[in-house]
Amino acid sequence: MILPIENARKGFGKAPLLLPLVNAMVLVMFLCGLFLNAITGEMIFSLMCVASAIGLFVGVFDAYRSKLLGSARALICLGYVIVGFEIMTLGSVWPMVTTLAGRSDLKLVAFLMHILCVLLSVLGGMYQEARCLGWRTGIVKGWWRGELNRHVNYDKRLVSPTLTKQPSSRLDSAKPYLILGLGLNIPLLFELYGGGRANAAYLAAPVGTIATIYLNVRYLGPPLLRLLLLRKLEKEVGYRFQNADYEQIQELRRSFFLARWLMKDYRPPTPRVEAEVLPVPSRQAIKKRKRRR
Amino acid sequence: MIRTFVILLEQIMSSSCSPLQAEANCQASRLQQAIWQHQSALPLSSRSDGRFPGLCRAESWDLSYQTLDGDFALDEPLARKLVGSAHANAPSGGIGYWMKEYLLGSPGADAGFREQMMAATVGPGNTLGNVNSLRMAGNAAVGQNVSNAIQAGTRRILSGEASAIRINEHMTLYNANKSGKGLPRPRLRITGLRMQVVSPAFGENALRVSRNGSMSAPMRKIAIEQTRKIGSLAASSHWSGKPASLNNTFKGGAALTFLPSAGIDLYNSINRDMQGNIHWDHRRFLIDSAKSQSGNALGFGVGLGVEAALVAFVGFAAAPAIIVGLIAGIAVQAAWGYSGMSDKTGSIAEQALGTHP
Repeated sequence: MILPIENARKGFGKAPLLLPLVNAMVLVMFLCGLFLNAITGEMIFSLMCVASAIGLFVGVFDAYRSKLLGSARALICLGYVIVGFEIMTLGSVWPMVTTLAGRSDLKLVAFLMHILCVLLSVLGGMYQEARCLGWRTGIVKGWWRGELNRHVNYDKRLVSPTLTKQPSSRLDSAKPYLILGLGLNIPLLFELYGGGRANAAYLAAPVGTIATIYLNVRYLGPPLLRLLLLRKLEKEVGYRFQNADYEQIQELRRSFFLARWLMKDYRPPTPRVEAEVLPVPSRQAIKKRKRRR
Repeated sequence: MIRTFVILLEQIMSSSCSPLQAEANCQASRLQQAIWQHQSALPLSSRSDGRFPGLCRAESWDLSYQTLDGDFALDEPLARKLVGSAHANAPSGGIGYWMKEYLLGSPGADAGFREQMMAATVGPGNTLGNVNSLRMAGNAAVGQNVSNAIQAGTRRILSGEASAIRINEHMTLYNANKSGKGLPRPRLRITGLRMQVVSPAFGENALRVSRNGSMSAPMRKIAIEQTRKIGSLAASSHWSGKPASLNNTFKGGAALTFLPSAGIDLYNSINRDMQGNIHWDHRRFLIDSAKSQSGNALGFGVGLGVEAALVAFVGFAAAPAIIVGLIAGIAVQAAWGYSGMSDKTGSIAEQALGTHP
């Protein structure tokens, strides 16, 4: 999704820290799920280090130097979420489930089933959006050009993040720490009453698939279609569009950690002034006003 | 205009109640006037302008309920009733010290219920403060039926006829002298009388410190007066603000993640020997903790990481991101246990701690 400035303010600077963790998790889950017998602990550890290093470099590049060319970066992001997170992480809980249940010959089948669910939901989301936009289907054909033109500025070659903006819900201010803290005790319940902590996989696998399907249909499918249509536009006009918030994000980046050495065009950030400060009249001005009256 | 009409209506209606209730109504309407004046003096729509960005003001009023419980003695503070509404200004010369003390002093430690009530509602110190909060109690307690019932019940107890009389669902009149010798002492027991408490509710932004430094704006004099009045109202009334406790902080979430496992590991590691003494096997506790808390830490970190990455990095709505992060955390915890890494961590801890002493 094209990065808007509000979301960037929330945690864009933390990307070099988050991405190694997420990357390592993705790789390790994938290996643990399907290939646990074939790989030893030392190999997992070294692969985790490699994945973390890759994540660090990619995170630093994206947070400090990427030009935020709208469609390419957003497509890579979305692709990483779908493939890396949904397929590799949540999908590899299914082989764990089959192995726990004693049917390890069904490992690959379970994994492919999950991939099928993911693909179908993504395509479903895209199809729904295509019907809305009128691309090759739907009532008003060809309306998608007008819809995209609303968010695209051809002269300046900018695309606004509102192209993929989701309507904000009331739960946006929900605090995650409490939910995470409570929910992570579910495996403890499994350990106490369910015959081992690993049996939490029986809960995590179907819930993960359901969450994936909902996520794809509602949140990831439609923007994917819009980004592909943007790419189509780009091929037609010949040049690439850039994120309209680019200047603001550059300004934000200048306040990041170690920005001075990692950024291309660095200058000291200007302090933000949010509220207008009322001018306080000086004593002479007040006296003059009183004298006039 | 409508507001003055409502005030007039209240005063008309109040003429048919007892004088104390009329007094309480009067004070309540004065409080309402003060609130309206405050609200109209400042541009108070929180969305529109930033003309008073540094002004700390209440955006709305919280109505909450508190219950009054207690045992009180009965008495009749006649002098206060005769003089009428209490004023802050001292009475003119000629009145002795005892009258002034009686009018303007506060009730003693063993003052009766009605005296406490009247001091609370119409006392000079807290006219604006506690009126609303005790208004319902006042209305309930000194309404005509209730005071008649209290008087009749008192007579019955004093004559020895009854030992406990129920006035209404919240009040019971009983004889506190259980020894059987001497005069009966009637006392009033109040249980669960609901009082409405009006307290100012500050919006979320009023108490937060801005990250870009403090913004200041000159406050007009009248705004300061109003703020001071309402501030004293907030201070003297029972304002239970939202405590910034374990609700949404990182420590709260972390405590919820790690503490249950720690409790269970502790429970498992405490055992009794043959004489019944308690013996804490701390080595076992550490090994168990290494197994379980490593999974917890990994789940918590990964859950937070995924959620933060989805929100900020991809540009994503927050609500499903929390759930997805939670599921990722659970999946990682399950995988940690499944792959045997938690047992390996336990064996590492066991090797580090050496052989059993």
